[in-house]
Amino acid sequence: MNRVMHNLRAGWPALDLRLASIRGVDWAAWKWLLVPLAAFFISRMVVWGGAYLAEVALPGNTGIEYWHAVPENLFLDIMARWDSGFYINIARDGYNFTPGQMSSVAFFPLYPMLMNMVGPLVGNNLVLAGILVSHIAFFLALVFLYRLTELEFGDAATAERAIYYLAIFPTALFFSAVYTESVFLLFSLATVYFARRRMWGWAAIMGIMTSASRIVGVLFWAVAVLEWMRAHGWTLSQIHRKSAWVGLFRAVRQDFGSLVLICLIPLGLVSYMAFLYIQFGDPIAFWTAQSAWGRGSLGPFGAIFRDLNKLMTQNFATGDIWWNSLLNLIALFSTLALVPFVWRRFGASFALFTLLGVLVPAMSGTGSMIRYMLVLFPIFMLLAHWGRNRLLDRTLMTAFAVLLGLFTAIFVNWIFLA
Amino acid sequence: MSVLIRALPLSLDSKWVRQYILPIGLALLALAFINLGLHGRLAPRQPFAPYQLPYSNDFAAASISNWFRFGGNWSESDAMLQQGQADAATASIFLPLWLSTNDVYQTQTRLMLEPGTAAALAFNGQYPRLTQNRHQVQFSVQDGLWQMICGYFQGPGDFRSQAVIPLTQPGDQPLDVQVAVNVSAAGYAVSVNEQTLIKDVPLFFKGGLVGLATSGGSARFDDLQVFKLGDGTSQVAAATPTALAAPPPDATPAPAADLVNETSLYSSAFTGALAESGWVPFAGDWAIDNGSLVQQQVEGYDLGIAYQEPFEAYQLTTRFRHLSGVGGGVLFNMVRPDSKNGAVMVRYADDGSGIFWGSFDEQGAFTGQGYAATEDPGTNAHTLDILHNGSSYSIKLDGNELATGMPLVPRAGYIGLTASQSQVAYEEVSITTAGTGEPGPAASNETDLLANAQSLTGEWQYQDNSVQQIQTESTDYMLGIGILAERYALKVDVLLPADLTDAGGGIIFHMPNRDDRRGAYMARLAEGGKVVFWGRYNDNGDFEGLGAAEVNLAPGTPVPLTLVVGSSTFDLLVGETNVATGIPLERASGWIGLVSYRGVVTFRSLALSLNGTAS
Repeated sequence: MNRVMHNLRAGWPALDLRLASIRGVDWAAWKWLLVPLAAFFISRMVVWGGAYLAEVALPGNTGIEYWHAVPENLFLDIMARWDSGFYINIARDGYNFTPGQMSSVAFFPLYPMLMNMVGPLVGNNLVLAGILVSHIAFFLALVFLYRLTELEFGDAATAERAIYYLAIFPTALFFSAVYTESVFLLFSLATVYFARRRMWGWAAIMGIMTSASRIVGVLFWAVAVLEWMRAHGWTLSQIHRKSAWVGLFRAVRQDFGSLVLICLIPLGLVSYMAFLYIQFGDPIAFWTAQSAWGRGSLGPFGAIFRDLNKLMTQNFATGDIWWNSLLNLIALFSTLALVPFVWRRFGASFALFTLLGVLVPAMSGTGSMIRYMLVLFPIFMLLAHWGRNRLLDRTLMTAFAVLLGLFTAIFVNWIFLA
Repeated sequence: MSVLIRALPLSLDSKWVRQYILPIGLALLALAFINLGLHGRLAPRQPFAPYQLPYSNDFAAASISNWFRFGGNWSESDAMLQQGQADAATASIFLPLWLSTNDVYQTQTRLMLEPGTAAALAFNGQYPRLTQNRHQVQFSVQDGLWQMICGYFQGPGDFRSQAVIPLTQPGDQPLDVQVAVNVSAAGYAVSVNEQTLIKDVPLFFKGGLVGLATSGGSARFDDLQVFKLGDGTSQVAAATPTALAAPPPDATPAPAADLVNETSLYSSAFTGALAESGWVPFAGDWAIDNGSLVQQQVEGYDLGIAYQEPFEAYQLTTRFRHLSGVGGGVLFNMVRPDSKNGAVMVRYADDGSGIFWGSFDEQGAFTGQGYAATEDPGTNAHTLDILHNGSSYSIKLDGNELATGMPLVPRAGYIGLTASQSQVAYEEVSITTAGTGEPGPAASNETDLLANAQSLTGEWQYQDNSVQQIQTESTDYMLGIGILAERYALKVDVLLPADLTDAGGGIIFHMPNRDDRRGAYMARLAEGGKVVFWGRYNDNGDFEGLGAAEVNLAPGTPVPLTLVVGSSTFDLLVGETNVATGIPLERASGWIGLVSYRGVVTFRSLALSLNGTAS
């Protein structure tokens, strides 16, 4: 072998040079990129493989009402279901709003806008464009989550667990679908990452994009403000100390420019509201349209109690249950239960986002909560921290993977999941 | 350039530039990106040119190259449009033309398909490449017969049936029919082979695209046409200005020509005190003045007064003049004499441009059913006639018909007068029996409704005007009438045997599958008419009661049992008594049947009107 290697080196100096350079790479320095890349590919192979198998092997809902966006290409078609239709239509034909009907204004603009821009690059195949945008955004989101978790814990193993928990979370199939989840997650993570790095300008830019991608994106204004206050020594635990307030007022004077930058974050939402006002005369059309989905302003507890009551009257023994409601309520209460731990470990800003990330949509109903929970990244960071316990780690990985496969099969076969 | 840069107060390396100027610039770029994207790329686009009507295509020449296809293999052959992909689960094609929301139009086509496939004429479609937000009339086989299903896609994968009408064609033979859909602002009507099968079906989407769809196989289409209708529609005759010209002052209205055998039920005599007139105001400032009942309040909407006695099936004639402003009219079918909630209203629009009509729901929210342009009423006297035949109503203004066959919740109700933003003097109010008022088109007599009935259990016998279940064992017997519907009012007179104290009879409805009670709801009289109860069958077919009420009916007397079924609740009336309201439903539609407990139980005068007004 040595002789072979010797001959190789002697005969092909160029190859030898390449081998040497690869061997010389400091792989540890690239872990922040390679680990998310591995998590991305592994999880997406599972999702795509499972989705394809579920589509061809399982008898799903068929009929004239169950449309197929790309029937001639199942590999693309399986990732366009339910709300995907709205994103495709927004990207193709623009927004529409008819009061009382399911109107596309309920869907925030950043994701369909990116689909619209990428579409011409892929032969105007908007499903492919949506899938590309979702996947690119998801990979970058994993990178940011890795970096953020590493920043919080100083621990690569925790960061690695966090991105795997996220990538194989039961509803992580939506990161591959023509849905906005990936884009929202990317910009929300980027906002927080830059805020924690005290890079307020970049945090503001990412925050603007976040507030244009989902209604809860505007929460990142408050998240960034709390981060800014924390950076200047003001936290809720210091609230009773005069020194904290003195320091805060001093910071306002000295770092007013950063605060101004942060206050630009809601402009993504404001831009969308202005657009809705100009086009349809209703700046909150995205909210008023919710009623067509059976969602109304019931207050945070009205909707929860309504769905909880619905669940209590069902027969679990015979399986005659609203399983969607069950899953959504489990997601809701699990998230609420984790909020105090998030607060204790990461501070008020993360806790605020986690709490309002479920309470804001819960004001109009608990539907789709398992999908909304998917982007609450502080939960995954916390679980990763707890995942030092190997039993918990293996339990979570097993449960998440099994449920991801199941949920993917449900979604692909036109059974409403979230 | 270098001189310019040096002249700037800030260098590119300064803290201000790095920390503030550059980020703000980038933030503005991000904002510009979002706003340019929104207004430049995502602004609502009507991707099609306004429709050039009339449109006609016999598919003799290639013409579908620019049509919007969504699945399937569409081609023109043998002078027909064909979807040829046999294994296409769904396929649709839409004309690249857009109808505006104001268009009153008809679309029609010849449709040919084989057993095992389904095909539809789609209209008012909002999206050309998705199966959502559109209406369609579909033909498919069910229970061995071809049937027509009218409905709409509310959202992706969410088809909601509005009516199912079985055809006479056996399901094992090919279907070749001419289908026409007549679309107006108030609803749509469907004809098959030039025979109108259904009218007044509510529209949920206005304007949009016309197209064709198939499911489960290939189908052929021919002679596709879309053309505008006149100002009149199948149900709303929007009168011309000439026809609605105001009569000369104080003109005495001629009695409606089509009313005969009238009997006066009430005639106003607006003299004396208001308190003794039988009229009680519930909003506004009402007084009797100079032989008229006058609403004196200048401002305010839906001011009203009601007569304190209910009527059923009548002609209401009102002559009135506006003293100031415009907005006078009438209320009828009122649930209560002290509230407009639940009532039907017909009145002048505030701007004097026409008359509109519709109903208030239980919360007082108004839903319009129709509108007809008229001349400004000025201060002349006008006569408004309402012909209420029990299940529908018609409207005439100064003898000119504005609308006929508007569906109505069948019930006795109070009548009233109303004024909005106007002072109105009502000179005459009279109520007569409805004479020969025509039954509304949405109502069906039992001969029609029972044309496809199937006896499931028991022995059901059809007589002249009734159907009887004659088995006398102590069990439930069921007759499926073969109609699937949502949002409707169903009324039937039930006659229980006088000698059996435990007999019962009623209605089973919202069956998920035809003639399968699992998941259905039932409301029926029991104990010989002493009680009425209601509930649902679970998925095992076991009945679970939801409520009951004592009614204590006289033995041997037929009693009307009425269901008013909304999208999520239903109301139950026994006779004229509303025994239950707002009972929640878990689904929006289903099959209907009759149910008898023991026998002989007789069902008479079965009537169904679509678009029941329960919430």
